[in-house]
Amino acid sequence: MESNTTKRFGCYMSTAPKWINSLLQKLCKPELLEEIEGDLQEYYELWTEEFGEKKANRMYIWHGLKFLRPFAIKNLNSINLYQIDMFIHYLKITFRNFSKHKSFSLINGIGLAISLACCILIGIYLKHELSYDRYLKNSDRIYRLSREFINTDGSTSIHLAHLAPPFAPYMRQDFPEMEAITQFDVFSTTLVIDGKEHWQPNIALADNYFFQVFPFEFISGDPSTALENPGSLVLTEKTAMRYFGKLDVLGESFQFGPEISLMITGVIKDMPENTHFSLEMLADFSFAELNYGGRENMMQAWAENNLSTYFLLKEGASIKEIEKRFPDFFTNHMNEKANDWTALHTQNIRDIHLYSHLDGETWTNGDIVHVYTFSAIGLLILVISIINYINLTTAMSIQRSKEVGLRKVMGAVRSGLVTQFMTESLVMVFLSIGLGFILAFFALPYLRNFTGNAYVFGTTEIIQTLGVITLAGILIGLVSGAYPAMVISKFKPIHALKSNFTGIGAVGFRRVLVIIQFSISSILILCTILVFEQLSFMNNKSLGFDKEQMLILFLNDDARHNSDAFKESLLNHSSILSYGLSNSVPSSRLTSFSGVKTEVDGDMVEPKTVIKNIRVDESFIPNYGINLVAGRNFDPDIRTDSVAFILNQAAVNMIGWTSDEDAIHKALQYGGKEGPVIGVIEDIHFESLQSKIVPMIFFIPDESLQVLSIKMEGEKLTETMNYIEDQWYEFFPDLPIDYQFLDERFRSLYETENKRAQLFTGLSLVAIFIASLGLFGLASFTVSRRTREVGIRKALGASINQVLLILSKEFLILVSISLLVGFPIAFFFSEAWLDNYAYRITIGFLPFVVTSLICLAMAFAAISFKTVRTAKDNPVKSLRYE
Amino acid sequence: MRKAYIGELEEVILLTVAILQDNAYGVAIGLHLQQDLNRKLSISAIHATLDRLSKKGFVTSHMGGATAERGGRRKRYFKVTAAGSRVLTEIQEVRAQLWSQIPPNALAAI
Repeated sequence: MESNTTKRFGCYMSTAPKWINSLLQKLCKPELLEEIEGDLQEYYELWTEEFGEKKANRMYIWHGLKFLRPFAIKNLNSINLYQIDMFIHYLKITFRNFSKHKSFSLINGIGLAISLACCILIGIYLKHELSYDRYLKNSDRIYRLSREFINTDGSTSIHLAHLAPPFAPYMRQDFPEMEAITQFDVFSTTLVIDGKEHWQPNIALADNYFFQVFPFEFISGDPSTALENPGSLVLTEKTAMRYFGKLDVLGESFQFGPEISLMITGVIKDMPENTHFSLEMLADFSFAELNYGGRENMMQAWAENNLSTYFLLKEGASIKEIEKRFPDFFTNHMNEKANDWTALHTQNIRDIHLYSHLDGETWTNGDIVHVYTFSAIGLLILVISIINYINLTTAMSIQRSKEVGLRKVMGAVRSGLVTQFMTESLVMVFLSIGLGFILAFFALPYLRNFTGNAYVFGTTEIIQTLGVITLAGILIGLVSGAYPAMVISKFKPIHALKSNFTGIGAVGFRRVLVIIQFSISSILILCTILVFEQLSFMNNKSLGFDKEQMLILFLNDDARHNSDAFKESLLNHSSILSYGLSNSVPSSRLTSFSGVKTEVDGDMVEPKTVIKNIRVDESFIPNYGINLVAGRNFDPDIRTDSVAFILNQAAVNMIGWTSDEDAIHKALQYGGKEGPVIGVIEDIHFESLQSKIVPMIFFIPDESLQVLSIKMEGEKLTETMNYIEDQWYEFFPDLPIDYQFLDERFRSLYETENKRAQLFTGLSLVAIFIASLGLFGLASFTVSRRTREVGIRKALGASINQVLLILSKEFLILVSISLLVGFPIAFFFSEAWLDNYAYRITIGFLPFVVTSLICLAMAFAAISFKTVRTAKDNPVKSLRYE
Repeated sequence: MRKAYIGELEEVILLTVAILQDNAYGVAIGLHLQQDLNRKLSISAIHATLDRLSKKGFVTSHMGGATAERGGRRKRYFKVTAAGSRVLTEIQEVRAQLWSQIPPNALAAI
């Protein structure tokens, strides 16, 4: 290691951080300084020899800072008493000023308080979003496995958050780096207990490794055996209280269905809110095995991907190493070719909530984009209110020029004046913090209602928030106080004491700040408008089928196989037009797919992407009013239709036939069936408008279908609903009825967007309000400076309107400039956001016009508030002014 | 004069000052402790302890001549005073007395 000190003029020039020395020189006792610096220097040279310059610098700083302890620091008593006196005097002056200019202080204070309250709330929301799944011990080592399916052209056809059942058992053998691996199936159902129905979501069928991966806290029961035996059930506190009214339920039996009685083997603590998966009941895995027809069959079911699979990485093991061996896993357990069309991936559990948007996520996740967006908005609002402070204080400074002049004459030095004005801004900020904190506290319940999260805000959180905000407050105070303090302390006494003093050239800077404020406001308003446009576009876009007055009824268990009589009875009601069966309905994600072989130019070829399928009966397509562009619908009287296919246009294009008609009668192999294409439907938006229309195929399956869509008409929906319910219980007295409306399902698809739009609106309003508040203050100030001018103009015959125009011209020009600044930025961001949608609005002219109008109107309102009064006043009065 | 109390760290550093004789200054003391006793102390801790020792009157110090190293800064050399010597001997005696009272085999074998 080469020494980094160079010999120059017989002494060493050191590369050590100089600022440490100047800090020590400021704070240490002069008599100790020399040896301290000397020893540090000597050590530094040793460290450089030993560790290199980088580390030596770090150590120099660390050890230098450690000298700031009582024995070496200058006596604190040496601060002169007069400084304390001065400080008290500054505080006094501060409060006098506040009370002298009440309206200005209020504008400053309220603006800051509101923006700080917004920041606190946004902070609470962000803290919650970023804390997901971190409550789990070892969360850094818990991973979820996901499975990707690859098209022949290498693109992803689908990326599932679930795996097939054989994965976990085989991986347990092949990957010793996994301390434990667990799989579970999540479903919801209606439980009938003592004749009463209970909707029970988030039930898991989990294997006994579950609690090794997720160390949930047991109130009673043994985590190592809780899910070992068939017929075991683990409840959370909440569900135990719900069904038993007590927590002490170990060993009791629980009626899970007509024939299934389970024994409770454990009660765990409720899962917290900040978790990406929330379970309320865990039954053992044997039921899942039954679904697959026993363990033997289950271990062959490589294509049935519906089990959430998580593992705990051994300490010190590398996730990269594990991932490297996934291809071998497929080769060993499936076949040589498997890696061409499928792959495994891992996600750390802490990243799932904000970063994962896979197909078939069991629970809706958040989004890192929201985190960024809201942090940015919070900061922008804060910037607006800080600008208010700077602008108003510098504007007001002219009024205080005499005070400053006099102080200087009396011997005040500049640093003293700077301290004085900094004190003022800090006091202002801390008063606002108090107010903002109270505001945030009262607004918190609304935030809770809005997001549905019970943000805990106990003593620890309050202390944390206060700590953070105190630091932030000092920073804000310094930032907002710095410029006014510099400007004011520059005043030359000789000028400042003259009566016609007009201040300093801060006007240009103030204008820039106003432009920044209104640019921010215009950006937020424009984005809000666009978010709303996109939403209403999505809600009103024609989807290619009829989603109104469509009832979705789930045929569970027995109803699935004996629904014929029930369905027939429905048509007896005049308001029920038709029904259709399928395995899934629009608004769901399409997750079932298979490869396809089909006839193109006489040869059987395999197209490059897979086709997603919907299994339907012959009435599905007419029931939804879907247009056939070529061929015909399934016909129950034609026997071969049981192996026939209907495609959508996207599939026809993908396969590469020349036209929709060209597809008819072509032979096609799909999912073990082989038959002709008999029809082509037009492209419908089956999934959310966020995703592109993918190739789809419809066929009639051999098994019974479980989702019944019922088309109703007329006004008397409730009456029709009652009829359907009565019929259901007529035919299936033991089965709970489970239905939804299709338009509701579509609405919930866009729920996050709806929420975001509302939040956006609220925050934009706050922004424009604070900006207007500042403009109002600035305008009233300018107007009061120009009272005499107005008086003279009126005396010479100017009308009120002319005076108004003269007074507000400058501000309106500023706002117009800020629109020009803000629009390109807003355009850029909205374009980026809209690009997430496969079907989106194009940004038109109108939002810009509306935004301009809103901004100008707000600005004008803020200005004219004061201006009108001045303009209307009798010139006699205003000329006597001063 | 009341009997000044001396802590373990103070004792070790005072002994080191005695060992190093004419070369007892901050860096040398620190390096000696590190090499001999494998004790890593931050420089400020050594300075603070020396400061306490001189307040108690166990060491005196004087500034040495300027050197070309250390950026031309002088070193402060420490010397053990008579009071310092006495305190060290006292500690030594107290320890010896206590050791002599321990019955054989009373301490567990290490």
